[in-house]
Amino acid sequence: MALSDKWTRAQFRTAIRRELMDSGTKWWTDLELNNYIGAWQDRVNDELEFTAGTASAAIGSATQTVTLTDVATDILRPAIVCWNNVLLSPLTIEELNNLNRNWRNVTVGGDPAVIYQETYGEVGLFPPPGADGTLTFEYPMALAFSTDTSTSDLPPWTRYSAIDYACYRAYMRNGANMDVNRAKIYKANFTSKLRKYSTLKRKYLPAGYSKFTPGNEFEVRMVQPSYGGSTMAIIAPSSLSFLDEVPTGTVNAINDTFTLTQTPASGSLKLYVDGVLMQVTTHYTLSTKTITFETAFIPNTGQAIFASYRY
Amino acid sequence: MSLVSDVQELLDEVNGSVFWTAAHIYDALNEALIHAYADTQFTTSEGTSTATESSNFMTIPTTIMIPQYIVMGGKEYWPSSYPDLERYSQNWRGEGVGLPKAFIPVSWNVMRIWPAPDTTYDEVSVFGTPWPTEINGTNTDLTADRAFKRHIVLEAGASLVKNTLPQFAQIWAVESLEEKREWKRHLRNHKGRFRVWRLRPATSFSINRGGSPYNFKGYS
Repeated sequence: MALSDKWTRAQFRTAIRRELMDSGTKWWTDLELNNYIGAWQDRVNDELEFTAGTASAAIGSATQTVTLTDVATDILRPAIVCWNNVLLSPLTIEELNNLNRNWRNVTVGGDPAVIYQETYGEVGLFPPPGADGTLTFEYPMALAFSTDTSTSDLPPWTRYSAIDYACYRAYMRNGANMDVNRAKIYKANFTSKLRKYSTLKRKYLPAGYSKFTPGNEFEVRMVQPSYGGSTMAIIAPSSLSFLDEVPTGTVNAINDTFTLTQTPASGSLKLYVDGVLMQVTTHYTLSTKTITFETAFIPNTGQAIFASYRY
Repeated sequence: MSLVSDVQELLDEVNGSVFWTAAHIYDALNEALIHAYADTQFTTSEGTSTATESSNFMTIPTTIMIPQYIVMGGKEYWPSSYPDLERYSQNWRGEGVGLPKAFIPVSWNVMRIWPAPDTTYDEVSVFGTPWPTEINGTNTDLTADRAFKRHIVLEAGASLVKNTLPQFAQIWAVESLEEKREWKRHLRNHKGRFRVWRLRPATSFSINRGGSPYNFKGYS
């Protein structure tokens, strides 16, 4: 057996019994140890999230909440949620309330931009979708042993901590073998190994993937809302991209009109001539994709024009 | 002497398994080996995997414990991340199949490939720290530097006596760290990527020969 092979539940039990010196099931039953092994797996997986899964669900228009177990039964917690392949921004209820106190009454329409979680086991879409679509989840998986021959889906290098965890639980149990001091030592060993594993994980999965924690460092793609209205100014993620480009047009001290490839979002255009920032109205005007320089500021031959904007 | 007999000697069990069975010692040694490999990453191996047509995911070869980089079609790829792809394009998930441009480790044994391959690529090499060879009844030793082996033995010993002889365990753990530091010093002096630093000429190269820009005469 190689070190990269996964252990079965029976192999875990054998190693634990060796440590407990109870190979004959005299003091601890298999059922007990199975419970401890399952709890160990939940604990390590919950803390370090080693195994990722993905699942999709067809969502009807106007759907406001989605029950996670309807999407997949092995979702430990949602991590990345996409609507029609576009990442949704996770927000807290407080953040939604700050944006618009009337957000729950926003009319159905367009693509959802925000995912929020108000109830355990459910996520909400905001605004509710105007048409049918697909919701894709990528998530840390909940792991479980079904039989003695099923293997743990945790990385094999975590397996030795199962011995510490199970012994800690076994010695904590009331009975002839209860030994709180010994349990404390095993618990300390287990937590120290957890710390070691988080270092290993950083080497193993350098990028990791963010937890679905509303209000976390996900890029929140929205503009300041107009308070009190029934519509909210949220820019759907797919409509917000940045572009740096050289506008099209002849630079010859005569031509005053230059064209961009996209229409910039309001107020987002930064236009530079030879590295000097131009001011809208004073130096130029913008109409959809067309930039028109004021007569006194038409770029001379050889000058470099550069535009940076959001669209 | 082997790793197993070294641990037995440390435990004063040269003549047989009185308190610790062979299986106890194998487990402790294997755990110490895994941590030492992962921590020092002193060796790199190659494993081969397959990027299957239209499949978003690829299995990391079972010989590789910590993947470091991928080579496909003679080109190197470094592990990427979801935030990287989001910055590249917010519609990256909607991209059709094509020549893979990015590999993202998502689970301990799975990588996402983006975009999904347009055809099956059989020869995707994953380089990284390998899994150590398991210590068991037939493989009781490791070919390695003396300090590295001593580090493994002390760590395994400390882990075995942590409940019964905590003071010993603490001392051995400290000794084990010292041996690890010694091993890292050996690495620094002998391994290729450290030799670049060791072979630095007394007079540094000019910027034209790839030296530091701080040595450029115009730099002040």
